Amino acid sequence: MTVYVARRLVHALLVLFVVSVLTFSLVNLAPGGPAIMTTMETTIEQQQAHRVRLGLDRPLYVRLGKWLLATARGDFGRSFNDGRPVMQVIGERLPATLLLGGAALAVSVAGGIPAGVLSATHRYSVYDHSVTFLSFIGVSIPAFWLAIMLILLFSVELRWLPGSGMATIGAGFSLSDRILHLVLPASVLATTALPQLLRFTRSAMLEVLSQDFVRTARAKGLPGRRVLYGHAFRNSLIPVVTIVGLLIPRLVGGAVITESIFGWPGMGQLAVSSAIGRDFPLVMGVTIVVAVAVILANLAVDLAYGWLDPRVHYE
Amino acid sequence: MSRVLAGVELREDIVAPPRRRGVWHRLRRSRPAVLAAIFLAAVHLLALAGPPLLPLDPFVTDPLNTLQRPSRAHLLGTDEIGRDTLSRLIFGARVSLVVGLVAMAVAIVTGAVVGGLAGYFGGLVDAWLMRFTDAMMALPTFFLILAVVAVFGGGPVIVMLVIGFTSWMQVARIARGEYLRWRIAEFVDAARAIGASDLQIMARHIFPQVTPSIIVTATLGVAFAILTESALSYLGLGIQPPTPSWGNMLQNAQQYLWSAPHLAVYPGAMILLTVLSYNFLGDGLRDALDPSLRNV
Repeated sequence: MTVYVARRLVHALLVLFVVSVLTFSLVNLAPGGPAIMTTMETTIEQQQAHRVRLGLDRPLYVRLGKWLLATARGDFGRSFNDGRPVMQVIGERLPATLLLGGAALAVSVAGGIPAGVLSATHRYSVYDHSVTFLSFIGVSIPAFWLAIMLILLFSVELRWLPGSGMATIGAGFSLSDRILHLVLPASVLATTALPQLLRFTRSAMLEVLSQDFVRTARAKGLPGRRVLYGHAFRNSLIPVVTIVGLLIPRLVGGAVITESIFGWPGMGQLAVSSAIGRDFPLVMGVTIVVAVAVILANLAVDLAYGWLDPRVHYE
Repeated sequence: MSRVLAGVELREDIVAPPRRRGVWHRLRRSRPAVLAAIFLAAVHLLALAGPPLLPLDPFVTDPLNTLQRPSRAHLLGTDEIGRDTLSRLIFGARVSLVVGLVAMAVAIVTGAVVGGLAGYFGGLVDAWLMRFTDAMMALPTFFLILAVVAVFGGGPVIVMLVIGFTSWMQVARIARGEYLRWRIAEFVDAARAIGASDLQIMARHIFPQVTPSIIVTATLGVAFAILTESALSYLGLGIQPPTPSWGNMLQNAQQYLWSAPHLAVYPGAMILLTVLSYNFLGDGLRDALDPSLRNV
């Protein structure tokens, strides 16, 4: 187990290293050079002085080393927009995204896995066919379009659910208010993840169901439910956990669209507004912090995998 | 796959490239895939041949006839500055489809090179390239795309490249598996014996074996690329107005949901139908190319 955990940790660090190098290259390839990351000063003399002040006259590998150190410390400089440290701005936004992403992931898992199992046990039924068709629509529908349509229907037409923001303006915090605000954005975000989880659960379950030990369990007279849930389902969960790990980055990426449309004050909205405003330190900081969040989530998934499947310990 | 029997490696099952006869026959049996192929053919043909035949110029504004409902003069109505929606939709199809196809091509080339090198050479090359691939897969790429667009600006070229360079990982994994499998085949030994270089073996001898499995990923990749472009353009960070793309047509439509809901419905429906068709086609192709996966 220790070897496995150590290996996953090394992988997590490697992902962090890759994202750090990628953002570093972006900053250095930016038209106008990396100096524009930290200043709005425009004359050539000012920029030259600024370059020396920032150490930009130093060799590339020295700068990369410094950048990696800054990443490790979480020091991304100050936002162009209001001059506050990037980490402070991000700190205000991160919880909202974690809440939204967590809710969407919970919806996807709670909906996708049972629906997928049902689809596998009732293969080629009307239910299976309609669920398959709906899954295709789910992964194909543009999230922003779905969001607009849902706002039109539930917020404007029916007035059942709020279509924007995290809380009712003027009202104090209440859990029910927060949940009501969460329903639409979390559903939109789950729309792409849930069908993928469903289809994957279905095929994992079908694969396990066709294996010898399931036939043996049936042959020795175990009740159908015990075969399904005791033998088949537990084993099909192993590959399903892997796909959850792969879905997390997509889910977080999808938050960009969802948050922008629903006015959800999270990292996605921050990424869009800073990209439009060319607030480079903020853009890079957001990219790295989001990557770190995804890496940690994936690490948790990997550990769950190791716990579920004792075989990985011996690899 | 090779088997080992009594210490002797049996490679009888990898001596000859497999015949892929009957692919079209099997594909035809999948009704969704056939309908998808017909729809896609129509959309691509319209995008290719349509713009010169357009009834109205997609860029000409008409301040007197803004936000018109569908009528005989404007079959699908007009937008907020009086441009013809149908003409913009057809012109936008060209932009969206080209971005989707080119982005996918970039992804295929990158993925095939990375996966091919890893699978063919193995060892340390393989270890490092695949670790990089796994790392890229674990990243929330949409944020990375935003960062790139923030630095370099939107526009078709940047959008195509950045989508391609962030979606090649699946292709790389598949290509690696195939190269790993074919590099020990007899026809590769034969090619090497007559003096073919590594590059020749990789490109001319093994690559044709890899294409069938890449085709499926490529088809699904176009769907993903079109969706990503539309999302970027919707946010105002992709294709810039006045050039229409399905995504940026929706950007303005949102403000006029009440006075002109058709502006939001048509481009969204086109994206949905096109992406859906590519997904159905990809799924049908997967079944047709590899019947063993059919029931999975």
